[in-house]
Amino acid sequence: MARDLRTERIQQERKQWRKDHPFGFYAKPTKAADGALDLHNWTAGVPGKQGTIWENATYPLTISFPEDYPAKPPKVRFPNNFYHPNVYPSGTICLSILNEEQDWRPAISIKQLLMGIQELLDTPNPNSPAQEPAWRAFQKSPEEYEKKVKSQKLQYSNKN
Amino acid sequence: MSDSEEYEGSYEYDNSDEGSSLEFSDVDYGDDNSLNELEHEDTHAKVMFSFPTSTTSSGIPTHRMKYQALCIDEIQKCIEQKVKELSDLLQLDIGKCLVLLLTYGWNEHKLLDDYVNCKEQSNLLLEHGIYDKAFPSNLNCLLTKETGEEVICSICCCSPEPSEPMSFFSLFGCRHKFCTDCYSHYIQTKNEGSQVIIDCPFSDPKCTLKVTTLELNVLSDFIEESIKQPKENITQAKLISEDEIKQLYNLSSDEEQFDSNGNVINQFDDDKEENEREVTSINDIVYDFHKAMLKREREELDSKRNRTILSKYWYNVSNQYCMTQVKRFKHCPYPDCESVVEFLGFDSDNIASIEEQISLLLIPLVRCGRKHQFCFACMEVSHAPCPCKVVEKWKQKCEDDSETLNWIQSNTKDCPKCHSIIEKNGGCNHMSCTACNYQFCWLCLGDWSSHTNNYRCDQYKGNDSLDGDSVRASLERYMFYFDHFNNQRISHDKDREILEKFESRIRELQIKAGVSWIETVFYKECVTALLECRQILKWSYAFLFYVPKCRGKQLVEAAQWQLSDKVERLSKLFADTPASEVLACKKSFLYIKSSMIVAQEKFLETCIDIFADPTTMISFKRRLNIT
Repeated sequence: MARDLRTERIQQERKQWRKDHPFGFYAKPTKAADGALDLHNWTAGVPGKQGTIWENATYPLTISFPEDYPAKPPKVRFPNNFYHPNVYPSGTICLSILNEEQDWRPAISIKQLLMGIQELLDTPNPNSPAQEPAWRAFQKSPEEYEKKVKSQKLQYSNKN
Repeated sequence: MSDSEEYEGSYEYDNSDEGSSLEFSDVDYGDDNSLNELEHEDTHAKVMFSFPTSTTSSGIPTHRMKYQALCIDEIQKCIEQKVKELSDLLQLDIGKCLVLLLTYGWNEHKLLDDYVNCKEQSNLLLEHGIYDKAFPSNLNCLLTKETGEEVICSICCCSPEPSEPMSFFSLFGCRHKFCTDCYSHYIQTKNEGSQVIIDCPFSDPKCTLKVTTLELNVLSDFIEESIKQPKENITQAKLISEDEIKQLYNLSSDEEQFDSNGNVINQFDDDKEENEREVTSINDIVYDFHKAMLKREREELDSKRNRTILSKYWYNVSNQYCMTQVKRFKHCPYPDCESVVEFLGFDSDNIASIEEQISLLLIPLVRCGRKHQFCFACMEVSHAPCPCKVVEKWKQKCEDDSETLNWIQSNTKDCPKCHSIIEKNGGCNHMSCTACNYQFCWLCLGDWSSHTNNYRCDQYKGNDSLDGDSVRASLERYMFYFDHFNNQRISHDKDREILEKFESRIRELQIKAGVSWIETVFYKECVTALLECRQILKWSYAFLFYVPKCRGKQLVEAAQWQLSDKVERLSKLFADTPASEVLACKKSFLYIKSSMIVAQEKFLETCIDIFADPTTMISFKRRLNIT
C-alpha cells in the first residue's frame, strides 16, 4: 500500500489536538538533534485530577507510534521507576486500551488515550499489578502509598 | 533377475506365479503406494495406524494408535461442516456461528448448554459481540460510496473530497463506517498477528461487535476487485523495469570481462564460462531437491492464501482450531511442511492415552499427508525401534559423554595392571604407572622388561583382552554402539544427499525416454524406504545399548543383521546403477526394496516381542531409571 497511513493519521491527530485539547494536557512531536520534527515519537503530559492525591502536578509521558499504527496501539510510557501500581519498572503502562489483544481499537484518539491514563492515575486496577512496591503499598498500607505518591508529585508539580 | 523382461509390462500379475510370500508383499506394497500417489489429489480422510498389524506375528499386541493425515484445507472444510451443522441447529447465520465457536474456544457443549438455557438468546449473542437480527441474503449494502465533509473515517481521519467519493465499509450490526483501505489494513494486521476474533474498530463508545466471515467476504471481494482494475499500469511498470535489469546485467558482465582479463573476451570463451556457471547453479538447486520443492510449494500456498484477507483469515481459523486441541492435532515437524495429523484413538481397548502407550514402550509413529514419518508423542523424526524415553536418555548421554569419551578414547590408555586411565603427555614409550608403579610399553602394553629399545616396539599387536567390569569396558560398550549409531547417521545423510541429487537426473531421463512420470515413482519410493530403514538401523543401536542381556536380544540382533544386510544391498544397487540404466532396473530395485521392507517389519516386531518377557521389561526400565 503506497499510503503512509501512520503519518497521515498522526498529522490528523496533531491537527485535532491543536484545535482542541483538554485543559492541563499537552502532547507534541519531539524534535530530532537537527531540529527536524519527529512525528513518530511524541512527548505528552497528563495532569492529576483535582481533589485527588495526584493533583497539582503534570506527569510526563513518551508516546511512540509503531509502523502499524493505527492498526496497532502506540507505546505510551511514564519515566523509569514511576510510582504507580499499574506501571512497570520500565515505565510501560498496563492499561487495556493500550493493549492490542484487549481493548485497543484503531479509532481511539490520542485525546481518549491520555484521558484514560489520567483516569488510571487515581483509580489503579489492583488486579493487574505491574510493579511490586506501589502495588503492595496500595493494597496493604494506604498511608505509605499516599506518602510516596505525594513525594513523587513534588518532582512533577506545576510551578506557575 | 534373469526374467526381468517378462515383468516389464505388468509385474503385479507375474509375481504371483513365483508364489513366495516375499514376492506377494512386494506386490501389495508397490500397488498400495502407487494408488496412494494417484489418490493424493482428493484424499478422503482415511484411518491409518501407527503399526502395520494389531499384533506381532508371535501374538504380542501392538496397541496401535489410529490417526488420519490432513492438510489445512481439509481442516477448514471440517470446520465449515461443523459451523453449518450448528447453523442449522440454532437457526443462525453461518458467520455468527463461527464467531460463537471462536469465543467459546470451540467448546460446543458449553455453547449449546448456554444457548438453550439462557432466558434471552439475543442477550447472549450481543454479549459475544454478535448482532441478534438476521443478516439479509445480500450484504452488499455494507459497502457505500460517500461524499461530503461530514463523513469521516476515524482511522485515517480523512473525509472524501466533494468531487471524489470514497468507499466505506461497515458491519451490519453497528454501521460504524471506515474507509475500505483502513478497514482492510486493520484486518490484515489482525491476520498477521493470527488473531481470529476481530472487533469493529470503533471506539467512542467502544463497539464490541465482531467481524463475521459473511461480512469479511464482502470486503474481501471488493478489495480483490479494486486490485484487479489498475492492472495495466502494473504491467507497464514491469516492462520498463525488466529492460532496466537487462541493461544493468549487460553493464555488469562487461565490467567483469574487463576486470578478469583486461581484454575483451571472445564469444566462444564467454559461452563456455556461462555453461559452467549454469552447471554449478543447477547443482546448487538440485542439492536439496525435496527441501526446495517443499519450500516452493509452501510459498505458493502462502501467496495463494495471502491473496485475499478472507482466505488468510480462514487459514488462521483452521490453525487456531488445531492449536486449541493440541492433544488431538499435531503439525508435521518437517520444515516447510504444514500437514496435520489427527489423533483418532486406539484400536485396542486396553489403553486410552498416548502416555499409556508410551509407558508400554511402544511408539505412536505417524505419517503426514506428505509421507513424513514422525512420533506423535515427542514430535521427533521417526525413532523406531527406540521408545521416546530411550531417545531422550540417549541424546542426553551423547551430549554428556561423547566429547569426553572421544577424548579419553583417542588420548589415553589403561594401565595393563591396575586399569588406571593414563594420558601420555610426552617422552618415550617406556611408561611407568604412577598408581601401581608397573613398567610397561605404551605401544604393545606389554611388560617393559622384554623391551630393549626405548623408541621401537616389535611386539605391537593391538589392544586385546580387558576386564569386563573396568570403566573402559563400559565406555567401550558405549563407544561401540555410539560408533555404529553415528555411522548409520552419516550413511543416512550421505545417501540422502546423493540419491536426491540423482533423482532429478532420473526425471530428466524419463522425459527423454518419453515414458510416463508414473514409471519413475518407484525410484522415489525406494529412496524413501532406504532412508527410513537407515534411520531405523541408526536408532536400533541406541535401543540395543539399553536392552539387557536376554534371549530376545539375540533375536533382535539377528533381525537387525538381516535388515542391515538388505539395506546394504539396496544401497549397493543404487551406487552400482548408472542413472541411464535405473529405469531398466526397476524390477531389481523393487525386489530388493520389498525384501528390505519385510526385514524391517520383522525387525520392528522382534523389538516389541522382546518386552513380552516381564523381567526384560523391568530391567530395561531400570536401566533407563523409569518405574
